Amino acid sequence: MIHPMNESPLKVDRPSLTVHCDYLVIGSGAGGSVAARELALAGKDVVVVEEGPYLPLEQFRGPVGSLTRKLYRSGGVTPFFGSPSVAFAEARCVGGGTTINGGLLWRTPAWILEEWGRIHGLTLYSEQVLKPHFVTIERLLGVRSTVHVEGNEDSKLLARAARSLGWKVSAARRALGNCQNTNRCPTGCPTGAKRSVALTYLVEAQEHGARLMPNVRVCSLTHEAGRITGATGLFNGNRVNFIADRYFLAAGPIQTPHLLKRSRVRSSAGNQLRFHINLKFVARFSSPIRADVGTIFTEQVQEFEKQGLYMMASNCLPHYVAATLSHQSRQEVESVLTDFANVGLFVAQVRARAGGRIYSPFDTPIVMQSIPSEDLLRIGFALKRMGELLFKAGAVKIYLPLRGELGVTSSLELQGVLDRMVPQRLELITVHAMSSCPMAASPDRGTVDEYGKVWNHSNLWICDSSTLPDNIGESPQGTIMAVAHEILRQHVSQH
Amino acid sequence: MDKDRLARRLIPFVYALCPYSERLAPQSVCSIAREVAAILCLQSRPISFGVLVYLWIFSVVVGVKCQSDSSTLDRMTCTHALEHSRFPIWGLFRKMLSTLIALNAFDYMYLHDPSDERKSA
Repeated sequence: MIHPMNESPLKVDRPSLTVHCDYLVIGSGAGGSVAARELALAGKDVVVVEEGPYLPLEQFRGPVGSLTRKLYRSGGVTPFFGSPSVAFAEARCVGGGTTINGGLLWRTPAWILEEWGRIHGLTLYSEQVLKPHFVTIERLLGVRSTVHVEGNEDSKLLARAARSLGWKVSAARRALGNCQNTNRCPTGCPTGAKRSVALTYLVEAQEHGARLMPNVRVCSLTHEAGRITGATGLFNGNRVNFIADRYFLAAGPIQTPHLLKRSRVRSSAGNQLRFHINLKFVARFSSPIRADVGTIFTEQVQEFEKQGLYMMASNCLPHYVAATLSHQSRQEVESVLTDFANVGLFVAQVRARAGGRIYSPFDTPIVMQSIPSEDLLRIGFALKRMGELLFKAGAVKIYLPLRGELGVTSSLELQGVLDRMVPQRLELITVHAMSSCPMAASPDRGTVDEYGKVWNHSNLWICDSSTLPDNIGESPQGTIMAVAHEILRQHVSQH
Repeated sequence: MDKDRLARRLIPFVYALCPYSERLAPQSVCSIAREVAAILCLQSRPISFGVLVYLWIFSVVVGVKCQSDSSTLDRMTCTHALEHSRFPIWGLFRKMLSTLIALNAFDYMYLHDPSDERKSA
């Protein structure tokens, strides 16, 4: 059911010293919330633990900086070490990524599912299998194509330019009620228009008896003879124990494998992290576009989808512009911000082949990554296409995500920059990571089987982005939730 | 990790990296430094240790005094040195610092959040 706006409908429980339940769900994001709802609907006694806080809607009106500190891990900048390094923005709050994303929800493209079968040997996931799950997700989250309304001039400019070039443009499909254009998607929608799982799935789970415990960090799993016997967590610095019959792990692409490694459940977990590479562009226009009036974006350029490139506008606030230009001099940043009404923030999302590896020698994981030469070609292609598109849209100066380069004012200058591009100077970020505990047809190729069950463990399942077999290119919320639904459907039918 | 010590080391970097830092009151600069230090301390120990080492080496190399009453000269020295830094291994820490500073600085520049102002207008 869709709850009325301006509600904060979840209630939170405090853990006692030892918590007993049928099912412990670790993580409350796109995957964990599906597990919570489906298990609760099946009449199971479910406890959902979440490392981050629960923030009611009214708190999403607060300052962007302090909300970023509360809602994101490491203040929004989790480093992936490498050359160049990549900054990962990862949610750490009730609702996970669905609380702080743009609510974009795409169905998994058929050709991606075909790859899963052909390359990874997975036979369970087809369009036919996932379709009913997408229908359910779209109904519960109120997913629909976004229509242009007042504002969003940045998105309109980009879409018009793409159409004039004959490029494919698609309306964004988002989990959305009546968007008020507050432009606050990355720090939680203050009006409740964005239908995060904290307003939908978790509410329904609670209505059917699930208990939600935020601010609990699960530090380790205990196991014996291929069976998880308990989980130990920290709540306000105090140790709490959870004893369940079965465990669903959905702590995200970094924390899920980290927990498996730290607990010595699966040492190979985290060996194959995949992520999108986001290239952010700041563009100056000759007249005001007021990119801060609007929402994340209303249309996406998908002409180069099969080459692994999507282009779109992004939420534009001074904070994000300054952060994007962090490689520029302070004077240059100030000059751009002084012209803020004429400035837009845009992103090219690249489906990278880059691989990361998660190491767990400490309480918090260390992520190392390397970017292969084929990705550098993709990045060069993305820089060129996005540059062309922005100039076509009327940009007079574009700041590329390249350290040491000032803005470019023409296609010729852009080409010059690309010709002398040094990969180590790329300023890369990512907001989507996945595949760190991939599904596979055999235990030597992945962490879980097609049903999400951790190989060689009888009562542990994973249902978050880490199980996706490969980088999917598009925003992954829809795919994560649909795959989680299928995992849960199979599970509930057997238990 | 000593958060206050890290915050003190960060102050010249806030001056150097934060847009419009000269418009900020010194106590706001200190607050930004404290908040960024708190975030860094929440990171894993090797990262915060790495940042501290980076700040220490950088401070020694360019002679930046890491005190709360950082002078104009210190700011200019730090700014100049950061802009001309050719140490790629420090790129990540510089990027983390400047991004965190940017994300946190604007809370101190607006009496009201800009989107709230727009809504009430």
